[in-house]
Amino acid sequence: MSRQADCDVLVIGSGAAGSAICWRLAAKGAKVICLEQGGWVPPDSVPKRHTDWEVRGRHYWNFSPAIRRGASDYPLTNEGPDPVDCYMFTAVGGSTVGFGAQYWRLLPSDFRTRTLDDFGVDWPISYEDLAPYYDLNEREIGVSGLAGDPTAPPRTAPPLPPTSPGVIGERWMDGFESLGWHWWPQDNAIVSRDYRGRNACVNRNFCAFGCPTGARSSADVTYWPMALKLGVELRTGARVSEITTKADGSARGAVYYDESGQVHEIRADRVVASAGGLGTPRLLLMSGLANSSDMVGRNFMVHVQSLVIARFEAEVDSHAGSIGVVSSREFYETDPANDYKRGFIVAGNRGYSPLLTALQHREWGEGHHASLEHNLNHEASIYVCGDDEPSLENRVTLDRDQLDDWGLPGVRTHYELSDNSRKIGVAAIARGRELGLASGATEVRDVGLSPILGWHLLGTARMGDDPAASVTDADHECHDVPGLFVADGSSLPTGGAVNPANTIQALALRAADRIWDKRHDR
Amino acid sequence: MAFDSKTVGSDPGESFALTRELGHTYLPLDATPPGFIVLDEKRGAALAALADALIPGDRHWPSAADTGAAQYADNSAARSGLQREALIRLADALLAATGAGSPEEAEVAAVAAAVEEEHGALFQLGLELIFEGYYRDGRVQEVVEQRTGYLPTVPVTGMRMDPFDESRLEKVKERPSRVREARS
Repeated sequence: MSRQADCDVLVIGSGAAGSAICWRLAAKGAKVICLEQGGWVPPDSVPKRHTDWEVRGRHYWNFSPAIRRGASDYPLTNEGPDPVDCYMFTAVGGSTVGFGAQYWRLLPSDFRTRTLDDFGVDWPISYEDLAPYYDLNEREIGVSGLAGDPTAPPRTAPPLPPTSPGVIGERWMDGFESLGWHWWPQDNAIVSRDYRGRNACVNRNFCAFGCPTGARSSADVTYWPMALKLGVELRTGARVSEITTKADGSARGAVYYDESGQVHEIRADRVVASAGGLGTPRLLLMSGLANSSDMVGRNFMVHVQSLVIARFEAEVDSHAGSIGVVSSREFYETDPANDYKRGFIVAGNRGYSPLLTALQHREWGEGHHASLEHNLNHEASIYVCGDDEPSLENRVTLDRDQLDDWGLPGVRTHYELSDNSRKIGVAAIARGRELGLASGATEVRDVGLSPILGWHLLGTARMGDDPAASVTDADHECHDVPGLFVADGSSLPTGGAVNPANTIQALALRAADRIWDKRHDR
Repeated sequence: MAFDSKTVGSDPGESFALTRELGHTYLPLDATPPGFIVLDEKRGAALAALADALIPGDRHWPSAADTGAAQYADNSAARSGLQREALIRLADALLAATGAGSPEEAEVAAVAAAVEEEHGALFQLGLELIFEGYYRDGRVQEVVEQRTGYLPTVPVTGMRMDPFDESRLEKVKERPSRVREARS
């Protein structure tokens, strides 16, 4: 075992959270090392650099690691009554390299769902605690949007104006207004104008298949260049097998395999697990740490997500845009008239591509071309996302029957939609269909709730005040292991009903400040 | 893609087992050999006939076989042992359903429908790969643009983004604030 240089903070995972933590701590003067299981995405492998980007997206860029099975992915099996189709990337930038860039803030009520609605748990922090970090994050990475949303508290304006709604956005706005629903231009982690040396978005749509120019604010083009400039040492191809502790039970560092399979140990004053909603509980469970509450891996939440697809007689320019356009929080909060608690967003998105359209309609034979001509460039999607109730039974566990290339266990997820979540999903799809028709669509269809779309992997090492019911405290430090922090999607006690990347990064920046502020505590 | 197939992710059966192979079977645009690798001549002809049954040509659109989609399916599946074997079984099922005659002599669409009914997972693999091979073809992308107005070049090269017209917000801005009080 080779001995590596010590550092102040060791961060495991270079994604949305890990990148932000590395940058923030390095900017304060900390010596930071980051271990990333994957590598940099080779520019030429970004699907949207190529005319066959749709095919690439089904193969080596597949969002599901269970299908992609890349060299740096660990085995993943999804089980339970409602198995989740989990999507994530293992690379510098983590899953942001494949995200759609819809970029929301939570609302104040999301932090108090137990008190307000007898739903889930309250967070140990409030919206007001996080608001300055939303501001900071949006400024640093470049977010497009607009202040003034009547469903949100007053906020600092995003640094860039909203992205274009395009032809379809106009339809959605008409639809929202005819229904009398709230709507607002959606925040996107996309630079709508040139920003800090990055060129403005040029309307390529299908953002999850990579952004060739870096207008999408993924972590590899935002925090990482800044962090590296500040001296953060990023070690790619580093597969952590164990977080280690000292005799007194506090964090000591981590053991990892490099790409050749050689074992190394890094010692650090502080260790941060930022490996995502599946990777972080995997790490903690492999290490046998921070689990006196038996909460590690439990409370796995994925949001209640679905898509309604609306077809219009007129063309919708589905080749262009950012994915997110305009959205509504009309049904976000608990309504006593409903038979469920909490709510959902209804988000008008852009259209679909040729291969996807052909595969979705799956019309073959004499009607194939007529089907494609009928639907392609006439369909656009409405994304609905609902609050998912945390449950002890929905969980992530180690899979010792399926090992990665270095003999480390894979992951199994077990998930069942709660009665409340299913009712939210049904209601959200119904509202999405309503919006489609109100916007002028002649046909609507939806993808239902099976399989569960697993873009947002949350809650599996949640923060909280009660050590018996949470893994970390409000400062992200593990109740059981001084000096070990968790900051990523697994930290969220509840998920709200919006895409979580902004919240994950704001939490990460706050965690970095708390780590820095407490650096002399031990 | 996340939501392009109803079988992805949760189906523990053969269809999902075959889908799982996709991660390792990408075939670069410039890597297509002229012929079949996995299938022999007879089986290759059966797959090509299936390709044309799935996506026949007309006065606007090339047929799937014209674009080499069957060869693409074969060459892509060649990268996975499981898919190779499945493609051979699919071709054999097509030939068996055809009876003694060659696929060209049979009513290919009816044969394809019978195979879909009997061998759903194999048929789905063939369909997905043939669709892939077809829509990645440059000639097809040109017709897509002509016939649908969808511009295949835009996701790759981009186009100007117009600004958001904030005057559209006049109505919604008038709505009263509805932020729920949540301070502890």
